[in-house]
Amino acid sequence: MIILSEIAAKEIKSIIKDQGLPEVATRLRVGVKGGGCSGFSYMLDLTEEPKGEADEELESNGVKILCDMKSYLYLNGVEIDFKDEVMGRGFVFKNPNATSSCGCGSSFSA
Amino acid sequence: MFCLSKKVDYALTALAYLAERPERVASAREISRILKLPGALLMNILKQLQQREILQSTRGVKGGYKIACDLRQVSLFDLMRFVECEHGKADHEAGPEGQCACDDCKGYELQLARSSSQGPVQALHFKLIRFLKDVKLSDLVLPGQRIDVPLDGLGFSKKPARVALV
Repeated sequence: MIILSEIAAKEIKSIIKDQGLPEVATRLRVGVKGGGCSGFSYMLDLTEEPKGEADEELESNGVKILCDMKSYLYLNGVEIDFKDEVMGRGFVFKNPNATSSCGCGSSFSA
Repeated sequence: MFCLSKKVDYALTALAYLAERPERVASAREISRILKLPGALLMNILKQLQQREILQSTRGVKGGYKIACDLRQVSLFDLMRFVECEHGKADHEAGPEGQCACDDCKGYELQLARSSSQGPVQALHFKLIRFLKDVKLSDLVLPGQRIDVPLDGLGFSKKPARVALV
């Protein structure tokens, strides 16, 4: 399960609209990638690719989500929120699987 | 380019490490080893943060540091001042609202503001100081509160290749 908060879903839908992407076919790919001091960092990508064999497909607050199986091991249960504040605008991951993260702010280990 | 000093960088990195483990203490040696930070400098920084009551230290074999304050109340500007100023808290003069009023700290703010003497860049410096005061440590080091993927970091994959049907 990957949970997109209402405000994060609203932001994603607004970006899809602003970018002129097809609303039905566009999915949010969520993943982790190597890099950062603790090993992994989060990745968000809007894509028109259909679900692949190695993907989990989920939906949260009206946004279709794709996540490859490997990433899903680390992201199952994650809650993605959106923040708009003095630090800037962006997505916040509340990950129950992350046991440690680093000061670079872009990586965690599980 | 505006950049943070190594000391501020290491302080933030260590605080993030401690914020992940609020239930236990971590020694300077442990933080240094795991985060690959230079031990001697890190020990100095942690001591400075402890003197400013951002960290609490426990002596002994199982001793170490843990976060002792509400990180939502401490700004990035405060942290920069604390680790750049050579005084411990005991040597500081109490200013309004608990701010340090020692010459070093007052000087630090003025130094930042006056690092360019002329109009446009000086105005930028004042804006930067305001920004640094607005950013709280919790925004940078607390998991689940800091921004992991900035809006600019949201990627757009190209459309899948479509086979032309003739």
